[in-house]
Amino acid sequence: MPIRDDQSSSSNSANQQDFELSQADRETIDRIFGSDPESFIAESDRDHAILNLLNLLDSPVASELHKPTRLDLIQLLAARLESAPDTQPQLSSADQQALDQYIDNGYDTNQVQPEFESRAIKCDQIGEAITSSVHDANPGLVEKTLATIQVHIDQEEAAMAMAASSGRGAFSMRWSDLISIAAILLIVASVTMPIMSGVRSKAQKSLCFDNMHAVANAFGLYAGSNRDMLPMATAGFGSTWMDVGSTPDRSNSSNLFTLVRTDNADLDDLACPSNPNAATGEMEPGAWDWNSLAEVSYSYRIMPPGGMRASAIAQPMGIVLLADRSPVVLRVANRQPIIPEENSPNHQGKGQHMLMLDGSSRWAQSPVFESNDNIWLPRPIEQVIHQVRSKLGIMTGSELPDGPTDAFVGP
Amino acid sequence: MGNWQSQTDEQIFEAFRDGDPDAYRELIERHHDDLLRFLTRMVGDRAAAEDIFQETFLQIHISAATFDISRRFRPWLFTIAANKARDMLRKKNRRKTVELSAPIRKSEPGASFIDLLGVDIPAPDEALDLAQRDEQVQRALDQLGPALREVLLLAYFQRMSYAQIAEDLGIPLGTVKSRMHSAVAAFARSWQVVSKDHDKSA
Repeated sequence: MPIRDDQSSSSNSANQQDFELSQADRETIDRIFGSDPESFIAESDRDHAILNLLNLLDSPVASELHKPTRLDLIQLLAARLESAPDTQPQLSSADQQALDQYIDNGYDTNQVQPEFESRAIKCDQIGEAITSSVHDANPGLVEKTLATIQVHIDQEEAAMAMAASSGRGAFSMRWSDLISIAAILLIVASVTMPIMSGVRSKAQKSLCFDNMHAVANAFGLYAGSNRDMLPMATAGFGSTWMDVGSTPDRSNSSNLFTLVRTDNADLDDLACPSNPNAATGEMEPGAWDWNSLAEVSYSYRIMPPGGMRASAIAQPMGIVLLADRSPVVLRVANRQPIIPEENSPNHQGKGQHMLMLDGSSRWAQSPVFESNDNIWLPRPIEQVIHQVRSKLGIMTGSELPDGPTDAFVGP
Repeated sequence: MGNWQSQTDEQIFEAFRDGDPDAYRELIERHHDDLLRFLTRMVGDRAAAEDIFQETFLQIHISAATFDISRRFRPWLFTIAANKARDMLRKKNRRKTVELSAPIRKSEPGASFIDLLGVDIPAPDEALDLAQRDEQVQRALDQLGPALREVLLLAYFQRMSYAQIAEDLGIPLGTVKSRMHSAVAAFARSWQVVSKDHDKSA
C-alpha cells in the first residue's frame, strides 16, 4: 500500500487507515502467534521478513532522546537493527544442495558431486560432533531397565492369572452383573493379590503431583466463574458414564474435559506421564471429550444429575474430586474381573494421587479409606462385597467339592 | 543364550517375541550407547535421558505384539524415544519461567545466511578437551527449538533419508527438507556463538 507523506494535513487515525497488511501477511502473523512464537520455524521469505519486523519491536528503545534529529533517528534505527535478536539463519544455496546430496547418498561425502564435497564434509563433521559423546556408558541402566520391565511382567501375569482362574470372557460390562459374580472375584483377589510393587520413576510421580496442583487451580478458576459449580459437560449421562469418546457429551470424562474446553486447564495438566496413551499438546478443535478411555489419565468424581456445588459439602477435605485413573473402570471396560482394592495403574500399582474437594492433594497407598469407603466403587457395591466376604471368607484349603458334579481342582 | 552377534535387530526381536529370555537384554545392550546419547542430546539432561530410556524399552516391551517384523526395529525404537522426549520437554517448557527483562542477544553481523565453509567444526581427534567440546555441542544444541533439534538428531543418529524422516514424523517431504536446512544452519550458527564465547573466556 502507498504511504502518503502529507501528515501535516491529516490526523493520525486517518494515516493509520492507509497501512493495511496483505491477506498473506495477516495469515503469516496469525500462524506465528497461533503457534508458540519461540519455536516457530520460518519456511518462506515472507516468514523471515515478518519475523525480522517483529523482532525489531522487541529491541530496546533509546528513551533519553529528547529532540530527535534526522541523524539521531538514523542512528537509533541502526542501533535497533544491530541489537535485534537473532533471526533464524538460513543455509546458503550451495550448502543446501550439498546437504541434500549428502543425505540422499546415505550420508556419504564421497558420493557427492565434487564441487559440493567440501561443504558435505562440513555437514558430516556436524553429524560427528552431535552423535559422539564422552559420557561413560551406564551398565547399571540395562539392569534398571530390565527390572522395570520385570515389574510390569509380574503385574501382567498376576492379572492374567486372575482372569484365567475366574473364567475368562464370562463377564459382562454391567455393574449389576458384576455384583452377582463378586464372590468369585473376591476369593481370587484375596488369594493372589496384591503383587503390585516395584520400581517406579520418582520423576513421573512428582510430575503427576504437579498436575494435581495445576488441576486444583483449574477447578478453582472454573468454580469461580460458574456459580461455584464443579465442571459438568451436560446435565446427565447417556447410557453409561464410561463411554469415553463414543458419546462425547455424556461420559464422566467429558465433565472433566470441560476444564480443558473452557481453557481453565491444558491437556498436559490432565496427562499423567506414566500413561503412555495420554493425550497431550493442543486440544482437537471442537473436542468435548478424550477419544478413548486409554487416553484418560485421571478419574473424576461421578457428577450427580444437575451437577454439584463446590461449597455444598460440609467437610470437603474428605471428598475425593480427582484421582489417578481407576483400575476398576479399566478392567470393566476390558471385560476383566475387577479387584476392588487394586491401586491405579498410573504408578505401577503402588498407590494413587488424590485431589480433595478442599483443594489439597495427597498420595494414598490404598484406594480404601479408614471408613471402608472405596474410591473406585459406589456404596451399594461396597456393601455387597462386604456381605459376600463376611459370608464366604477366603479359601482356607479345607473346602471340598459340592458333590460329584462340582468341578473343583487343587494344587 | 543365542549367538546374537551375527543376528539383526529384527531377528533378535523375533527371538524375544518367541520367548527367548536373553534376547531383550541383547537389544537393550546393543542400542544402549546410541539411544542414551540421542536422548541426552535431545533433552540436555543425562538423568532425564536415563528415565526416558527405561520408559522407551518398557513401552517397546508392552507394544511388542504390534511391531511389524517386516519393518526395521531401530527407527521404531528411536521414534518412540523421540516421542517420549518431546512429551518430557513439553512438560518442562510449560513450567519454564521467562525473564521479561532478559537482555537481547547481539546478532552476528550478516548472520541471516550461513556458509558452512566459514564454520570451524573441529573433528573429535583435533579437539584438545573432549569433555569441553562435548559440553559446547550440547549448549549449541540447546539453543535450537525442539522441532529443529529433533529432526537434526533423528537424521544424524539414524542416517535417515528425507523420505524416512517424513514418514516417521508424519510431515510432508518439503517441510522435512526445509526444516533440516534450518536445523543445520541453526546449529552452525549457535556453534559459532558458543565456540566464540568459549574463545573469549579462555
